[in-house]
Amino acid sequence: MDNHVPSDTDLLDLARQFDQQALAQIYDTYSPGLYRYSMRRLSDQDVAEDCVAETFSRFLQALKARRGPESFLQAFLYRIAHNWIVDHYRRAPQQPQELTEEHPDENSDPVKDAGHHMQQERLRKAIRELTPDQQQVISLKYLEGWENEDIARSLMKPVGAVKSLQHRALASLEKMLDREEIL
Amino acid sequence: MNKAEMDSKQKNAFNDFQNIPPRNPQAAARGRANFLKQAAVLRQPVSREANRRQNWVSSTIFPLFQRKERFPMLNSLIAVVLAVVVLFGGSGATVAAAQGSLPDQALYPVKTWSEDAVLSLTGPTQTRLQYVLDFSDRRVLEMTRLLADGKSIPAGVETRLQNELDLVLELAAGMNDTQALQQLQMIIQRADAQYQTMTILMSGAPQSDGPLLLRAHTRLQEQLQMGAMGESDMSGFRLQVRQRFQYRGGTGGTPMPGLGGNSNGYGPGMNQPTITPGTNQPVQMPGVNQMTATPVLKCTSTPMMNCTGTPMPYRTPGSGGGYGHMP
Repeated sequence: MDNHVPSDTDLLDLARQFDQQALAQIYDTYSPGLYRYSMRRLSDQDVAEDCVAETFSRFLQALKARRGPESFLQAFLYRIAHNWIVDHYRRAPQQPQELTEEHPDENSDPVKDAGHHMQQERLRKAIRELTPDQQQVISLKYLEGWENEDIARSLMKPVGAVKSLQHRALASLEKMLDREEIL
Repeated sequence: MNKAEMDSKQKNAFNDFQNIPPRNPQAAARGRANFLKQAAVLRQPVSREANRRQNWVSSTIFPLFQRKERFPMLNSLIAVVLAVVVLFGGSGATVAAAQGSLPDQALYPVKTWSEDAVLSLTGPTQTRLQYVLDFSDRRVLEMTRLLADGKSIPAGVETRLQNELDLVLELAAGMNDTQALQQLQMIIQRADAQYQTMTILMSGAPQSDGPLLLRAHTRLQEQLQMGAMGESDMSGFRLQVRQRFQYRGGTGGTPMPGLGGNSNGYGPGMNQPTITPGTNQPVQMPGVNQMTATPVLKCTSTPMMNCTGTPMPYRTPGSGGGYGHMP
């Protein structure tokens, strides 16, 4: 049995020919992570699905225009997703979430859950106040756990610039959150 | 608190984000099916033209020798130059004679001056973009001819090329989506050929010209990346271009003459329609106050800008054959 796992470069070579199997593999490999990334940034399942769909659609368009990535596909896809999210928040200011009667888990503590939710929203809102590059650095570093080298590829910037962005972003977040318990 | 403790504290602050509800399998399957369906629609047989574009020889060697094909706008340029000849007699003849000059020749300032003049007199953005693309090809050709003659490349040629590359991006960013996409394809095509030419030049250039060629090479690579970005994400492209534009505007980088978007110049700068981020709709910006259309950019995070909301002067008309300078 052939256990050979094709590299990004192999997959992209096939994807440029719109090979369905390669494209399916790319989708299966990267869409779960992209969805989680979108959910953390957007906190809305439908919008996160839209983000993933648009990311892959733009990827196809880039392939069609023969300008898709040569390698580092993950960095390319996350860059598209990030740009989509930044645009999304510019297009539509955040709507207040509706309250529902139902509670997902009988054993959970509503007060504690609400506290967590508020804290998340506060941090999410603060992240949105950062510059787009700072947002991406913070999201990829602390939400996705990427290394600086991978973030640098996604941003198409040197590692030193990423560290600098990270430093400034954390300082801004700390200031925005009034040096309280979050950071 | 040491660095490890600080890092751990920051990571803890984001821990709550790790718990997200599982993805709806039906939505995931639907997304996958749509993606593959779109891929099937986009899949088309590769045309002969596309094959030719990918040919390394055709994109590197041909541009050096098929000048007529590479400068489609030069017919118009020659017409303008001839008009100057008719109007000014002897001076016009000098301008015409200068068109083939190299940077180390006496008539070269006349050549660059005439390029600036042509741009100043050209109204439509698309036409100006075509001119600037042709001029950037001229710069690469000048570098090629200088090296072929065993001469050194003056830094001004590379600087001028960089400015021209910046300018085509700015012009494209100021167009509507359809036009911008068309122009981006052309920008990429030209940059690709220039990039390949520069790669060849770098391999055989004397050491003294190495840094200059490397700068041009890196910039052309960046041009290709920006073009690709524009094709996949027009809003992000516009934002990037605007950030470059604003940054350079405040730092007093190397400006070009007549590039301020006013009656003299090129650039989506001051009077060109721009795009409201996220809407993809061109809007006319009031006066020169373009910054306010970019909500993400803030005066506090961009210290090079004038915080009253008025962009700092960007480019000024230059004198003679060179590029102007920030006041």
